[in-house]
Amino acid sequence: MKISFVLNGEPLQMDVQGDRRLIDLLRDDLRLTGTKEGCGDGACGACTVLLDNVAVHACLTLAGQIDGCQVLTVEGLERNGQLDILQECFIRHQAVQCGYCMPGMLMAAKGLLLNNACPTEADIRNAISGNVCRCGGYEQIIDAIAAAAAETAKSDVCQ
Amino acid sequence: MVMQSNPYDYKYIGKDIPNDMSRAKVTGTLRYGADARGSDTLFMRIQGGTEAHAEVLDVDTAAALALPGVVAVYTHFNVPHNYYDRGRVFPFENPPMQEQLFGDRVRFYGERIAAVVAIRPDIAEAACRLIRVTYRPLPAVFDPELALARNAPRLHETGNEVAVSLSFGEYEALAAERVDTTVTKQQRTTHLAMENHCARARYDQATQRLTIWTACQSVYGIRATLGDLLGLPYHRVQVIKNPMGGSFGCKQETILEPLVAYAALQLQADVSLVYDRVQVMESTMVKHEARLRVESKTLADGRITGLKVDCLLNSGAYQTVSPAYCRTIGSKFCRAYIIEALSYEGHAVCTNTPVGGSYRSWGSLEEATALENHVNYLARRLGKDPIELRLQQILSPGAENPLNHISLGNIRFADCLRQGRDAFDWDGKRRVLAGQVDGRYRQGIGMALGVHSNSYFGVKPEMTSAMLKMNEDASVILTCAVHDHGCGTVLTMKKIVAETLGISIDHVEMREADTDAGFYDLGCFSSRTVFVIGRAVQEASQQLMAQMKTAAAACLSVDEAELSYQDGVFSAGGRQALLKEVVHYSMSEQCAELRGICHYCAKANPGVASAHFAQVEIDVFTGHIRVTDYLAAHDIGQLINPQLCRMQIAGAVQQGLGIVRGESLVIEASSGRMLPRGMENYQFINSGDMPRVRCLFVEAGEPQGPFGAKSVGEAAIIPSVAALTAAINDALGTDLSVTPLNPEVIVAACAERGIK
Repeated sequence: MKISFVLNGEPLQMDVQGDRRLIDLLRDDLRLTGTKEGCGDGACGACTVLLDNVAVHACLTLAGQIDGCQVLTVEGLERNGQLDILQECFIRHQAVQCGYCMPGMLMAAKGLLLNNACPTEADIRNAISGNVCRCGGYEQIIDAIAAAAAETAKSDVCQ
Repeated sequence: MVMQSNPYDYKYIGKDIPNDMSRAKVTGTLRYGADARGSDTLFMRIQGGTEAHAEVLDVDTAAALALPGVVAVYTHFNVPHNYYDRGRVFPFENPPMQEQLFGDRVRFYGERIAAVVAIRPDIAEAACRLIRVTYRPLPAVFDPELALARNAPRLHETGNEVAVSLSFGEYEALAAERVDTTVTKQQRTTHLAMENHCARARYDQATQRLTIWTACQSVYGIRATLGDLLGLPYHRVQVIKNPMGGSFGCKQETILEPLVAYAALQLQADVSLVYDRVQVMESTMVKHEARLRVESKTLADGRITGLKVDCLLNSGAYQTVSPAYCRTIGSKFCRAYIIEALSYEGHAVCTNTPVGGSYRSWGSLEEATALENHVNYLARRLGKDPIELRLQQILSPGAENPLNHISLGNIRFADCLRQGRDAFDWDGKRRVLAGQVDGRYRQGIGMALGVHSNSYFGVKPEMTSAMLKMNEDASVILTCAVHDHGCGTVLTMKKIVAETLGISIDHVEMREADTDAGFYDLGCFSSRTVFVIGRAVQEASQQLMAQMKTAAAACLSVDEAELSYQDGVFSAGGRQALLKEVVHYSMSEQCAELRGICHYCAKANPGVASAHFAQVEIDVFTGHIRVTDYLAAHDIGQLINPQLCRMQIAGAVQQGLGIVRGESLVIEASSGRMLPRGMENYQFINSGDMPRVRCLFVEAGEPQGPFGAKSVGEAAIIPSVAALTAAINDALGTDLSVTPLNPEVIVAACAERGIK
């Protein structure tokens, strides 16, 4: 089937099998390998991308479902050489170990902040509860997301 | 976080800076194995069997081969049948050698039967589904106790069991006030590194060389295994370590590499193989199922005089590392307490189940869980405080391991126990909990000790090397065989170089392990990376520093003694020479490249001590366990990366909590299939269940470690399961020692004791 979608800000048209997994479309067809596959059944979150600003698993989303949608992957977070505030905070808070969960973790966090500018710690834990980090116990990731939220708000909006 | 003050004014050591490759990791630009491919890369996919134990009579590959895009299909019937061992690390050792590329039998459900190579991964997957296998089923056995029976199904001609025994002193002759026995059982789990296993091989016709890219822990172990398996001299095989998305031991062994290497050689091509999660869980390796019976003899005051231990380890379908693992578990029982005798019998037993393999701490977790459960049981029986009970019999700094007479070095049990007790507010919590009213939510506290190693000294020849060269612009390239698992060992090595040379860490580059670069090294396991390789890097840096000084003195026409040096600038008598000028002078005037090369042979294997303290709240209605406080005290010698160490510890506690609360792979009795089939129903710990972990570091220094540093990554998991188990037993008044303690187990234990 022919699909039209916007990928990381760029309009795209593709002729694909409607049941092709989004993760295969991204990684194999478009060679955007930032999105990782960890389980293939929606349990690890490594393939999280945003579909119209909502975090979804690219391994459970089919190509036909993205027709007419905005898709944002980890490659789309950086704009004009400027890292997203989440990426900066993940580095600054040293939330990075092996890094394999990072793209999915960042996209889940991005989805959270786009829909909730002032998340509580419970909101953050909930938003990334479907994203597994096996190296580091989540604490630095949670702190990095909270810092990014605070910095984005930059005022007392969240008080 | 509680920390002793750092007595040294270091610029990098003990200072927090982001992990190596952080930017590449958060932008998704770092290419892991599954992300990289060439324009002509072929894709291999594996078809697993559907019998737990069977002869493979025939594999019909005609339909698969007929699929357009399929290049080759390999099975037992068209590959060589020579044997190899996945656990081989040092080329001159004699491992079990039970594995082949494809055997004429499958010994566990999911074992590989065929490999398809195709021009696209989806074609290879489709072709796998077209393969038809004819089996002659054989009786299967899943339980290691049953596999020991005389009439049990036999998996290998040599039998199902390898027995090991270790001892010192005369256990049976020891006098004792009391004798106690506990049985600790640990379940089969998966490591759950987020990156699935993958490997790629390329045979280059022009150079007649085979190159392997793999996220591994021992490039030289893989080279020896592949060279011997394929009949290639080692200089025609190059193994390069790929970026690694976590290991925890699961990438320590040679599993996928023989398949891609064989296909690449046969096809004179570039072949890539990526496993899916079910294949990783079922057919790479699992954490061993283990049953340990511990008997102690004790004096009236609770001091243990001797231990008698029986260990039953489920090796799975192939022995591979299990006999060595079983022996290693036994060797770890006399590194914490002052005892007069140990009698250890171990049985590594093959069953028709997934292969047991290397797991973070290589047996220390199994050993410590059994021993610390036992000591906590003694404390409950004797009515003694578990910390006081331990303080009266722990080994002191300088003590020897009585089995091999190697010093445990500056091991700091007492510091971990005392400082941990205070920071956790153990006594205060005990007082509060003593007044706890019975209700739906029960609180409890518990603790346990751990001890781990820092090298292979005493087991294997502990050799490594590091080479540093200073470039023409005074930047530095380090070559050593580090295999970073993702935990920051590359950053550690760069810090050691930058600190020693007094230069910016931004001017230090290094490549990870590559058999074509640098010298032989055993690999990154046994907690040797920082203590052994780090020390070699430090000595190479010191050599380079000495050469820099000599050249600077000549450059400035002064004696070396007159030189002062800071941040890349030499000064003497009011004149200065920048490092760049020193390099220029050395190369132009002295025909000398500035470098440091250290061949290092470690002659020490000190211990690292740890003590973990846990507080839990148990809902006796649902059996749900919530961790309300956790403190980990670690004897680390000298911190190098504080934040990364805290993350390592929290990640280890997360794995330990997973083992306690419900991570488990079981074998379906009717089929022999491993369940669950994938991550979806695997009970790992997510962000909602993970407590914040408080870390306390004892930095008392270890003379032979770089800057005094010792290990932490493996050590961090060792006391976790026993500490959490103790807290649960404290809350419920139980003696549970069989994990997982999932809600069903907790509810049943409560019902048995009338707790409601």
